[in-house]
Order: sequence, then C-alpha cells, then structure tokens
Amino acid sequence: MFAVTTLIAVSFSIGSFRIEEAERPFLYSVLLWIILTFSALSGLARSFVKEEEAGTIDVLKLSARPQAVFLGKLLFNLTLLGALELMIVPSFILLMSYQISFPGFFIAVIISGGLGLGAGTTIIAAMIARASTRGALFSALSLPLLLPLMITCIKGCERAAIGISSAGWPEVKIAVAYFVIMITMSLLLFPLVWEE
Amino acid sequence: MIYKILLTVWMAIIIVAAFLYAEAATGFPGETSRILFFHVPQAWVATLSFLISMIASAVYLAKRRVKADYLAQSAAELGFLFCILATITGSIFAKTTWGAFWNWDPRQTSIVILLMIYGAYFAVRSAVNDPDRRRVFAGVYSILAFVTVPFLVFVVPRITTSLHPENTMNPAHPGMDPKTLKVFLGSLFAYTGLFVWMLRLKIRVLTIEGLREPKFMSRKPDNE
Amino acid sequence: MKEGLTFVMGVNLVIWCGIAFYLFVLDRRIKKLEQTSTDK
Repeated sequence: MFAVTTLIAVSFSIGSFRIEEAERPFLYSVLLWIILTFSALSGLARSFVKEEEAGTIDVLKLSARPQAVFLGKLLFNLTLLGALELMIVPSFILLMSYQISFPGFFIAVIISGGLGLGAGTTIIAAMIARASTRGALFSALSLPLLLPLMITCIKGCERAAIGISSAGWPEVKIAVAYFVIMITMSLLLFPLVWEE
Repeated sequence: MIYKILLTVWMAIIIVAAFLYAEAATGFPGETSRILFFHVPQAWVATLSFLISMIASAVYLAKRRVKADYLAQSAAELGFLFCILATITGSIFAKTTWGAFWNWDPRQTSIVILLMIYGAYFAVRSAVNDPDRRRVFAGVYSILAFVTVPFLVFVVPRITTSLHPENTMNPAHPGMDPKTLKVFLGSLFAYTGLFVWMLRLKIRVLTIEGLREPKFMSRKPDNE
Repeated sequence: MKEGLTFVMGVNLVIWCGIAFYLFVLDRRIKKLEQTSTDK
C-alpha cells in the first residue's frame, strides 16, 4: 500500500517530461531505489513483531532451531520483496517512461539488490521485536547497514539505463557478496538474539 | 600519573615539531599540508577504536564478561568522537583546497555512513531496557556494522574518483620526506596514547556506574 | 605569517575543542558519581 502511494505521488508530481533527458537515468534510479527501500522497510519491520504480539514466539522457540527460524523468516521476507519488486519496477518503468539499454543487467541489479535488502534487514527486524521502542528504530538501524548496498544498486541501475559498458557486472557482484556476507553473519549472530 | 605527564610532553613536542621541524609538502596551497599531522591521526584513531569495539563485542558475545562490553561501548564512543573530528578537520581542508566544505567526495560519503552506523549503535543501546539484552544486541549490531565497513571503504570510493590526496601524503609512499615521516609517526603515536588514556578513563566511569546499578531490578521487562 | 598557518592552527583548535568537550562531559558524570557516593 505504502509502495503504491509513494509511486503514484512520485510519478504524479514529477511526471515523465519534467526532468531533462540527460539527467533522467540517474534521477530515476535514485527514485526507484528510494521507493523500493522505504516500502520494503515498512513491510519487513513486521516480520518478527507479529510473532511477539501474537505470543507465538515462545512456541517457536521451543519447537524450532534458531537457524531454521531465521531462514524461514528470511525466505518469507524475500518472497515479500520479490512480490514488491514485481509490482513496483514494471509500473515505475511504464509510468516514468524509463528507458533501459541493458535490460538483463538492470534485472540482475534489481534482483540482487532485493536479496541484499532482505538479508540485511531480517536480523534487525528480530532485534526490533524485542526492543522497547520500535517505531522509528527499524529504519534508523537498517538504513546505515543498507546504504552501501543502495549506493551500489543506484549506480548499477544508472549504468544499465545509460548503457555504459558493464562487463562482469561489478554492481551485481557487490550486491551478491553483500547478500552472502549478511546471511553468514546473521546465521552466526541470530541464535544470540533469539535466545536473549 | 607518569603516563599523563609523558603524554603531555610528547604531545607538545609533536605539535611544535609539526609546525617548525617538518617541511610543508609541495602541491598544496601554503602550509596547509601540515594538516597531515593532525587530521590523519584522527582518522587512524577512529579506525582503531572501531576495530577494538568490534573485537570487544565479539569477546562479550562469546564469554559474556561485562568488562568486554564496557570496552566495546567506550571504544565506540571515542571512535565516534574522533570520527567527528576527522570529518570536521577534513571538511575545513576541503574548503581551503577544493573550495567547498562538502562535495560528497567518496571519502566524505563513507565517513558519513560510518557516523550513521555508530549513531545507530547508540540508538540500539538506548532502545533496550534490559542491561543484558542491551549488551547482546549492541554487540550483534556492532559486528553487523563492522561487516559492512569494507563495502564502504573499498567498494564505494572506487566507483567514482576521489579528490582525496593519497600518494603525496601516504606514509608508505617512498616519496615522503623523512622529517615529515618522523613527525607523522610520532603524531600517530601521540594520538593513540591520548586515545588509550581516554579509553581507560571512560571504562573506569562505566565500571563504577555498573557497580552502582541495583542488582535485583536489573531485568526490566522490555515489551509488556 | 605564512599562508595556511592559521588554517592548520584552526584545525588544531577544532580537535582540542572536541577532545576537551568530551572530557568535560565525562568529568560531569564523574562528579555526579562522587556526589551520590557522599549522599549515602
């Protein structure tokens, strides 16, 4: 819901012809990632809070290993993100008439960026659920960790749109490396958060 | 006490030497390159303290000794302070050499993200009431944050080119003047000494405060 | 005075102001601790 609202607000106020041709690839990739990140953050924060509020968290603690819980939550979040991207990205491209020179590279950046986004935020969501002030804390904690990923993805989308040579897809590699490292660290650290 | 006196004397010698003994590097307006002796040690101490904070957090998570958490917290706080100082002095230098206080140079970008990360670290600490849980969460966050740092330092600056002087001021660079190198290393040493002194002070304060904490009420509920 | 010297001095001033500020805050915390200990 948040995603659709921001998307409409952005495309309504900016339109597809306000921005000069030369500026477009850069500004569009920034806007796209801002919409994606913030709508993802507003949804993902709920993943563990739900359990805490429903009181099912103790049952989960007894019945499943922490790694399994983490992977389950991660899978759920990634599915959510995938659906979100599937909805936002095509409509963004259509509404803003976003021209992309390398569609393959663009899609790869979007997918790997989504993976990184999910991996970086899941463990933060687990911590938030057990803190006393939840509201703004999730974004405050997630954004600093996500910023390197966001910068990389914005650059990647920009380059895919302009069509600068992208041999080896460096941005995709960085995003995938981020994903792998975040998952490894989360698997190591999650049991500590979970049992506390 | 001896430590304090030695440190003060050493620091005074370094400051005088930085102005009088070492020669200004060429390629910078006037005497501005002398910032090397003051700005770079700040960045070095900031990096060092974040490293210490991360290691101490890992030690706390493994052994659950409160002392390790005190060290992690103190080092993070001091690292934050020195990071701010490095940012401010760096941006003054940017003003005199590049003409603007801030222009999102890759180095500036990464240091701002670093400041945000450690701001968030303190946010974790203030958001959790239960002391034990607070320590675990802060430790976990500290490690997660540290894992993303390589992405900042190595990945982000390479995407765009940097205006930050590297070779002319890099101590490993063979072209560095031997006098400059001497004063520079002495300055690194002096600021590290200052950092250690401040760190021990902070840990002592935390330890005393920890002793005062009422033991029986220490597990406050967080989400009731 | 040579060009740029005031600048380097300014940098120094900023650093020491920062460190002094931190120590000042720390000192106030210590004072507070001392006060509570004499109260008891």
